[in-house]
Amino acid sequence: MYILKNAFQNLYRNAGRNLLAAGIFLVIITMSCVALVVYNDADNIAKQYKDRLSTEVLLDVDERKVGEASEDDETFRRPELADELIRKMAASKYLKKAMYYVQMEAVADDLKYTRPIDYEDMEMQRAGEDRVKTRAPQYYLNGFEDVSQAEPFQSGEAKLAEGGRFPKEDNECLISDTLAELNNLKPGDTFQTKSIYHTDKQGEPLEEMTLKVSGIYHREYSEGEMDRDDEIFTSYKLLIDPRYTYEPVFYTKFFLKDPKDLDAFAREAYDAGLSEYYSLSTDTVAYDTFVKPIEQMCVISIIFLWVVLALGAAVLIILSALVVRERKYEIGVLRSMGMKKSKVAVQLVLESALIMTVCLILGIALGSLLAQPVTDMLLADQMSQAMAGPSLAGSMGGASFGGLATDNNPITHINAALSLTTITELTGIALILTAIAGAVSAVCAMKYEPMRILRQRD
Amino acid sequence: MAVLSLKNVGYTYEKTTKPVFQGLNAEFEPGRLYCIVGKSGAGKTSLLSLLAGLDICTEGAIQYEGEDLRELDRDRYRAEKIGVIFQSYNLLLNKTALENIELSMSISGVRHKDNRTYALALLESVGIDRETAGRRVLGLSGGEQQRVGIARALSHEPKLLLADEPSGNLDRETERDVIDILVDLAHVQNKCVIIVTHSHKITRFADEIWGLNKGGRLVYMGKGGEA
Repeated sequence: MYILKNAFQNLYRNAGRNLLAAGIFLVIITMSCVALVVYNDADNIAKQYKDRLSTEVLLDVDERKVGEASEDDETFRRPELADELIRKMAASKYLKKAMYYVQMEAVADDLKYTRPIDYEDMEMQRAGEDRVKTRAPQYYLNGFEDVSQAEPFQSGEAKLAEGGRFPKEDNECLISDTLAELNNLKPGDTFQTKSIYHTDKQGEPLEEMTLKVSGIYHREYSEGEMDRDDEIFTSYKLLIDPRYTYEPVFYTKFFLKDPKDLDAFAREAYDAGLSEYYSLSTDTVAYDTFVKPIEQMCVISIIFLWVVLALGAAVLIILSALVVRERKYEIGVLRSMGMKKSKVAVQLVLESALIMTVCLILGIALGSLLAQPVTDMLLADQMSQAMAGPSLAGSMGGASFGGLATDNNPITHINAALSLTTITELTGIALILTAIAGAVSAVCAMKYEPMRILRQRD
Repeated sequence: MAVLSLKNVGYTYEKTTKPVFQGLNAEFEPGRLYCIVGKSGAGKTSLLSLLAGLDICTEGAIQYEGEDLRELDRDRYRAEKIGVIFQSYNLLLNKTALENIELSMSISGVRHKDNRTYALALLESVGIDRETAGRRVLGLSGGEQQRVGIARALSHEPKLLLADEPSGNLDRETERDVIDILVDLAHVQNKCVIIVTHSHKITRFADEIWGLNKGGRLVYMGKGGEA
């Protein structure tokens, strides 16, 4: 106990010397805090992006192959994806998650539509097919096996209004609150809708569907985002029914368990009947564009941390040795009074620990204040370098057809928040620095024999 | 029974072959004041460091109450059994007089009902009042520092007191006060007081005077006033 009291006394009785040590500790802890906050937060974001970009499989049309085939045969048309194939692919053992839905462009003559579109019947002819009559779409029917699992409801972007429920029957649907208001629709009401195509591929007229409103959803949009209140959520089964659909358009989102399984998954998909005119890939361009700069930030911050720690430790070693040299008279007196070497060492370590504790608290506070501007600066620098490169254009243009469009936006902000992990790591660093400073002091103090010190003094 | 005995004690500095002294034999008893005299370089301070357990003799043995110092925990020996008074005081300069005494008591593990009251009384007994006791050592005069040094040496009530030129840096009046304290410790408080000195003012009060001669031998020279 007296050692602690003595250590405290020494701290404020030798303020100049201790303030110098405290200043060095504070700089090391503050810089380490900034580096660790930047590293940990950037690393977390990089991991999230990496996980998504390296495991999300993009199902794209292989435009090169389609182009070649079209040149050889004017009537060539790539085979469409089939429901059975999508289900087989979704059931693959290589996937940790599979999401898919079918979309139909539709019109409903009795409804007022959310976005005025000037439409008239028109004729369209696709390669290898007869001319068909079609109209501009008023609505998009999205068919899910379980509407509650649709991404807008999963992410919380869309919410079901009170009094409604998710569709249970094949002909039930969810409509937006805008559409409901425009047409005075409420749960339990029905309306007629149909595909924009008048006939199926064989020329037989497509039937009109009667949808029953099971619920109304409200969707939040971020500033500048275009509303999608023209989306109607209904059952998957209804929209692949050939009585109503000209040709189902599938949207898929497959996530691999392990990015290394891409080839195996692709092999399995082609064996299951996926046409060679489709390609399966992960989004390497987006990965390079979004993750690489963040990873570079991590590298910069970790190098900075090591440099700070190495320089800091070197300065502390020198300072500790000099301080003990300056205090050798005091050490000699304590030893001549019978204080054991180990207790002298404990006192020196305690003094370092007390200074470090104060510096740790101050350094964390200061570091967390500085971390955000440093993060913003590093991120802006790294992103501007990445955006200046050729990769982003490719990434944006590479949105998949027949798959979900790439929805990765450039990272413009990283919230540099102090986490428990960072505090734990800083405490570890503080302990190591204290141990280094204490050990150097203790080793130097051990060298001094009391009689020799006192004789020199005399 | 002797508090401290020298049995054929010899000492040679590290990396040298010529002994500083050799074959020293003497016995020091409680209630007596001993003076060890000798010319500069005779090895008086080296002998005192051996007696204080700050160094180890290279030949023979020094025994405290019959136990060889080599066998004892010498840190504990210094902390509990002996008190050392240095010519240059060797106090902790950034502490007050009182804190120096309290720290010494803490190192020795001494526990009184109230250590602070005991320390203040001790300082008062050597002529340091409360006000001076609360001042940093650096601001005290040489005489005051030596009194604090004596109080510190007595703080754990040792049987043996070792003093190295205790009046060497003091003025005449203070020197007399310090000598009175040391004589009182030996003759009234029954301590064994061993003083290394060349001051005739101290040797006059010695019960035994021993001389360290140039040949490195310890020679009995008589008692104070005779030698």
